[in-house]
Amino acid sequence: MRPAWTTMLRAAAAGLALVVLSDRLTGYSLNSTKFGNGTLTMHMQLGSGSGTLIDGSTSWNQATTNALATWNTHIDLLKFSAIQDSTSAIADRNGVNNVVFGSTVFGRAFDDDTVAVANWWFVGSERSEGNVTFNAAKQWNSYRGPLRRSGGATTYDIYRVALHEFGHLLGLNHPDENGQSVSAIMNSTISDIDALTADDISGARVNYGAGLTSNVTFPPRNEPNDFFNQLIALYRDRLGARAVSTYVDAEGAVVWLSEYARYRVGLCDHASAQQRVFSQIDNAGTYGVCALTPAGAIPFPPRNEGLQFMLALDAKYRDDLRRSATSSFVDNEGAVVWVLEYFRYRLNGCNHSDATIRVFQQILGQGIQPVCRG
Amino acid sequence: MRRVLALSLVCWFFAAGVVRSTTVIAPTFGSLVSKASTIFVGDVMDVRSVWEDTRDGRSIITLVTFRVSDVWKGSVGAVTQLEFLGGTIGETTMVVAGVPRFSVGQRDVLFVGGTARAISPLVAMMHGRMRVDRDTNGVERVTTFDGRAVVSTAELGPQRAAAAPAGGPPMRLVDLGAAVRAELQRR
Repeated sequence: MRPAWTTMLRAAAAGLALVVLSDRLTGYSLNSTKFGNGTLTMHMQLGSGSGTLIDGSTSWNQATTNALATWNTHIDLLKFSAIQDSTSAIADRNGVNNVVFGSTVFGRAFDDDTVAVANWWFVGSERSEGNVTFNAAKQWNSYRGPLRRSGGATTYDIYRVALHEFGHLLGLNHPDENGQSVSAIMNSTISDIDALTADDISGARVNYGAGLTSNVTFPPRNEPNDFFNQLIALYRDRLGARAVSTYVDAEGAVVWLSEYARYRVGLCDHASAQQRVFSQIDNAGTYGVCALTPAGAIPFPPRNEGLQFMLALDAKYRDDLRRSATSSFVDNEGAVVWVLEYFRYRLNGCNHSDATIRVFQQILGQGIQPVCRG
Repeated sequence: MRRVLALSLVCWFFAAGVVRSTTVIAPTFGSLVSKASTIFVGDVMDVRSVWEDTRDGRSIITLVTFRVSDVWKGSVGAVTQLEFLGGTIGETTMVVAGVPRFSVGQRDVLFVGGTARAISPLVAMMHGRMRVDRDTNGVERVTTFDGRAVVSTAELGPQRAAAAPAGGPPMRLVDLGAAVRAELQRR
């Protein structure tokens, strides 16, 4: 017996070390089961009567659907869809994913300390149904910021609780119950964290990230960097531009505009593309694109959206990354307009030199130049 | 002794994979004690899952039978059974996030609440379960449901998740029992 126990002891200790090590490395904690890829349809059945909530949502369903939409911007292989005010039966094991208020979870009562419950069914490792029940006895609203407490009672933010519960449906466990100390909406205790963190997103993306690999090849990074340096020189020497203050340095502008363009060319909308880029900046990893780019001329986002992205990027560098202001001869508007034009030429058949020349011709008033393939 | 340690490690290893979720407010020690109608130390004798048909659909419930070795609050027989929503029958599993799962041979302190036909009969879902394991010297020590050491009852509560893990060995079972009794007397 002794050798067997010794072996088991060693194996357990090795396993323990492995678990601790992997937890430290990965952060998030994953459940062993998940839904298959595709669409997970949630039946929003939270009823009426919320009035206008603090965050402007006009119904419980809208507030919780916003949480589904937030998750959707970060995952590729599975997407939540929502049926508003669904009249489907609210029952267990009927194949319908109910999102409801209740005093019980399918006949079993909540206790005082439980705010909401996620439950699901599975055979093997694939889930077949997932439901979320919010405790009807609690006081709810939808708001951002610190938890609101008054007179010893807490008003719970249904949006952040929904983010948490839907995270369970995506296969996430509580990281803090798995030996980790990370900032996460998925931690076991509700807190002032009111949005997904990089750790939450990274975990969900392990299960449902990857997504589509873009079928469009972007130029190697040194080439747009070279273009941008030439652009700075053009602004300074030919246009006589004065230095302006910006928080995004030249390299950051090129890298993240390139990523934004990659998502947009991959048919992500503006909000989704921006959210993906910002999550990359927050170290949540690289995302797949939203769809393969159709054959023919490659579409590019309108300028106003590119500029919105650039202004938001500048604010992120200033507020989240705490970068100091730097000076550049190319302002944010110039950066986004001309870098995206450069990429448009590059992705439509022009080499680095041709694309640079065409952009500069535009800047010098010679109008939009033809791309290099029809 | 090595066998006991190995068993503890193996139990911990498997416990690490247990499903825990849901949004629950972690109770303080005082709240755990006051909300419990019974508090006892028990060894899991049997775990059995059965189908339950209700007007809300078909669910699985798990019946966990304990041999009771010590009662700290309320009244409970030498053998008692608790019902938990969720469980596995054949290849089909119903998971209710946050509801604890038990295995035969485990030893726990159970803080049983007063809610009839609850999702979990324990106070605050999973928080009403504390695990008991022997250390290398054979002393019974207590961890929370998720395997974290309970060094002091004062550290339990909502603030715990955000706090750095407390140092020191888990408190002894006898000390937890004394703390429960002291809390009851204080009230």
